[in-house]
Amino acid sequence: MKLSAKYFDPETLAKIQPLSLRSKYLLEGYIAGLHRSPQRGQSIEFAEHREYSPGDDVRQIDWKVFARTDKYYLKQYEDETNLIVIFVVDTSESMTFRSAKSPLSKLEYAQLIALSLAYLVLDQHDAVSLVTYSSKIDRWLDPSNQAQRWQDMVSTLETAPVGGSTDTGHVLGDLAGRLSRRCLVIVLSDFLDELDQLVLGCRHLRHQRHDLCLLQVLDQAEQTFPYPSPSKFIGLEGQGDLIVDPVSIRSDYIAEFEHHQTTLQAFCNQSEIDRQVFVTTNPISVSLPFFLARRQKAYHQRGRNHA
Amino acid sequence: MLDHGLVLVPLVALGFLSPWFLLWGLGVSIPIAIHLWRRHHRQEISWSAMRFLALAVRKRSKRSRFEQWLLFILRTSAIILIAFAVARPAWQTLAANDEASGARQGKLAVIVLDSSYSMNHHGGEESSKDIARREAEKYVSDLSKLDAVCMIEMASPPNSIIPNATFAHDRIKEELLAWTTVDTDADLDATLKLVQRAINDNRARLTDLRGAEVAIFTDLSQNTWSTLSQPETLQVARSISEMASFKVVPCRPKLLDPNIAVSDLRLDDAVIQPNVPVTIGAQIDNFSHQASKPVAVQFLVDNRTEASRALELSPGQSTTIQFDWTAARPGNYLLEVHVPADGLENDDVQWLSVDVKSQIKILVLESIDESSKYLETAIAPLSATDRGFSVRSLNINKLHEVKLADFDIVILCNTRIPNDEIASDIINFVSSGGGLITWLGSETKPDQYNRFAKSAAEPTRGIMPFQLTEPSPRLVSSIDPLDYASPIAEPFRDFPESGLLTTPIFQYYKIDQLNSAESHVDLAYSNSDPFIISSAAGLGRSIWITTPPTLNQRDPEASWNSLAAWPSFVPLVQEVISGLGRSASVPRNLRVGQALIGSGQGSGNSTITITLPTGQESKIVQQSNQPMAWSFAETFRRGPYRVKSSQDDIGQLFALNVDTKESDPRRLELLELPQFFQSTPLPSRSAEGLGSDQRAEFSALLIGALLCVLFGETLLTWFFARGRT
Repeated sequence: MKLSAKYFDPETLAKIQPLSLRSKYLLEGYIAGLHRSPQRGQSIEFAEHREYSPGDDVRQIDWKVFARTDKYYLKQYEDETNLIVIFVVDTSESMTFRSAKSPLSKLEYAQLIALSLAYLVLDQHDAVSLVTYSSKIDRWLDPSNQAQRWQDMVSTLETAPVGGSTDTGHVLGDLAGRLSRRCLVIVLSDFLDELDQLVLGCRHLRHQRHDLCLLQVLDQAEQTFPYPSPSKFIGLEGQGDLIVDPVSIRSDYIAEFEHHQTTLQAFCNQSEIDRQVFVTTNPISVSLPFFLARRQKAYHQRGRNHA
Repeated sequence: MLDHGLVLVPLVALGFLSPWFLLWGLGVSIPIAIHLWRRHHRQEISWSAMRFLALAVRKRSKRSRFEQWLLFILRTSAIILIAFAVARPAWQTLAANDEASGARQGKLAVIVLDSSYSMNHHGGEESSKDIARREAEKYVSDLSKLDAVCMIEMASPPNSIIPNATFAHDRIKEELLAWTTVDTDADLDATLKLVQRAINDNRARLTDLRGAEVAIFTDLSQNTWSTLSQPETLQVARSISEMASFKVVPCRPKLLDPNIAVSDLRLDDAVIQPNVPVTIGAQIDNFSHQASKPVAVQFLVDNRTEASRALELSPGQSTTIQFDWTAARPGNYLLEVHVPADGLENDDVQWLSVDVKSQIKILVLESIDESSKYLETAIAPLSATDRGFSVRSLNINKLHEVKLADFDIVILCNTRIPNDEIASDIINFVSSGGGLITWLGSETKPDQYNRFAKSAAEPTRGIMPFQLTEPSPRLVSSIDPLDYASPIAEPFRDFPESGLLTTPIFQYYKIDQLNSAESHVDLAYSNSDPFIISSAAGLGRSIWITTPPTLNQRDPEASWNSLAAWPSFVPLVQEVISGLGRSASVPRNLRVGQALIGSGQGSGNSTITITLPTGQESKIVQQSNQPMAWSFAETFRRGPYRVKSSQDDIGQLFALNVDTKESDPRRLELLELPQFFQSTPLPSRSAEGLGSDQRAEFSALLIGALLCVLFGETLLTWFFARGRT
């Protein structure tokens, strides 16, 4: 079975097609669409009035308002613009983990999510880009809104090198240096590495006003540590091995894991970063529509607040 | 042991009544083995979130290791407690540590080894003795070091191998290795009395011994143990059981090999002369429950085979084989009959020591010359040397002319005893093995003869087992044969025409009652007064006839009897002499265990050398100018014993044979013994000092501790699990 066929699961896509992907914030774009652009003046859609200041373009003075109020106000417009969505997929060794109860590894799950979302973006004539990484950026696909780009993504994901340790923070920092336009950056990783570096990378992107969405793909075993008997645990990214009794250590492990998750979530809330956890045992046909619906709801909420 | 002689003994003795159950404690190794196995066979998991795992391990490891060790200790403790509880531990506090004072808390163990020769009966390659030795060694090994042990040999007579109980168990084991059986049976009654004495003596010596146990290692032969039916023996056993417990260990092979025995060897002729054929009868018994294969019964004289007969016996059959033999010259001969070696070799042979003499010398002493002429004629009817008898008559006043030791038999024929010297010579003659025949009559003076009488003050000096009183009144009496039970009377049973019963007796000497157990009446008068009395005296024998062998020539009416004129006279005299001849000389054919006895010449220092069947020599030194009797009691081996005196070139040969009652293979079962022989023995090892109640308390304590441990383990497991969740 070709990877593309696997990813292009008709049933999955049928469930998410009625939903549209909208950014929480206004984005610059090539085309006026569903996404709001922060660049005003070029669009026909009125945004707001502003009192005139010396030096302003007098062509934007709203003369009707001047006739009623005898004051000078400038008309400002919102542009409908094209969206660039960059999918950043972690292909490090830890993403290959798959527990006995899970049908897919974390990487396979992340690839499926990335391709599904890319399909939707392309369907809206927005542009998509793909980055794969482990400790550094391994593959890069330039943004494009051509339908062919989806096939390019599939082949890139199929051929991207898998393995090595993870350094998401460093990669996001590197990515921030390469992006010239504001983008929606969707990072698909397990985010199990050190938070300090990740925070630096995320702040770097946010500082450049990129919209950042962290999709954390986890195996259920990583959350519950369900092993019953003493076992030898071998680190996938060369962290050595440990012989432990899972029963005796489970509570402490879960506590450490939850602490990591809580810290990560707190940082995301503080930095206005969207974060969503996907568990590989949950069907994508359930978890992905749930994610999209949550984002759409948040978008409308935001729109009403602006109005 | 310290230099100053103190023996260090622990203050608390701990032991187990069922030590084999301690093996349950090996169960402790099971969780350890599982742990080690799982360590090498544990599951390997490739893991992504190692960072959190490492953090958790770092946080948990110290506490977790403590919890795991705690649980491990509790679980192994539970297993060990179970093992200890089922092994029935017992402890005892010791009072002191001085062995010399007997301040021990052990028991007195009396080991009784059945040393009768039936213990040699084989079954396959192992005999009862082998089994007994093995069981006894095991018994000693199982004893506590606090137990004192003495050892007794059950034989006839029994023997104390170690009379004083010792704590040196190694010495006991050495004695067991050296232990051999003897050729006697086992005297259970005497053995039990010896055991009783050993218990009393040792408990008096070692006052702190807390109890006693009599461990008897025996084949339970019926010959030995059936004596328990005698009230006296049973009473001794019962009294022992009141102060000690019995532990009877049956030691016998399952199947005994066949056993053919030579049970008896006898000569019918009392007097054996050279060139006169005699017949030797050998009784052969098959003690097996199966028919014997043909066996060769061999007859040997002085270790030279004279004849051999093939014999086949049915189960339990007893038969007598006769061998003819003629001695070529006078001397002491050793006759031997044996069968091939079989399951029990001790009874495969019997010996007979035989003296062949060309003449038996008889001295007849009289007061009135020629008063003994009828007697002389009766002894040697054809001539003075008839039938090998050499007869000399002598007036008793001329006794100094002869040496009594040169004669085999002395006859006092209705004579006086002129003085004490003569009386003393006659007593010495009989005591050293001579034969004496005394015809009482009108010349007999009671006060003179009563010198011969046994007295309470000097019973061994007397040769006359009664006191003379007075002549009976005149009467007419006949003879009562007393059922012909006596060897003297027995030949007359089939010859009533010989006139013994109708012999006219008119007068006789009356006596008071017999005062010696070794005397008996051979013939009596019709009024039951004794006519002929036989008696043992020292090494010799005497026969007393209460009426004389004479006729009053001057006044026939005054004669005491018509004996000399009666047809029974000659055979009667012959049987009296023959009866004396059978037994007058020193007994040479004995049972194993009976003492050898003899007398020295009484002329200064002399040494008696006894050569045992094993070849060993034993010496007895005598220092006396008077003839003195000697005895040798260490006769526990069958076979010929050769005795030689330093003053006598002619040796004496004794033959000691086994009593084949001990060959009977019938055995009793333990359950057939009285109940107290089956009582529970005192426990061995160091726990023996405790009663069952004390043991129960200790076990209950352990079980209580076990429950506490199990409860604690459950509680901690729950608590730790809660902590993890």
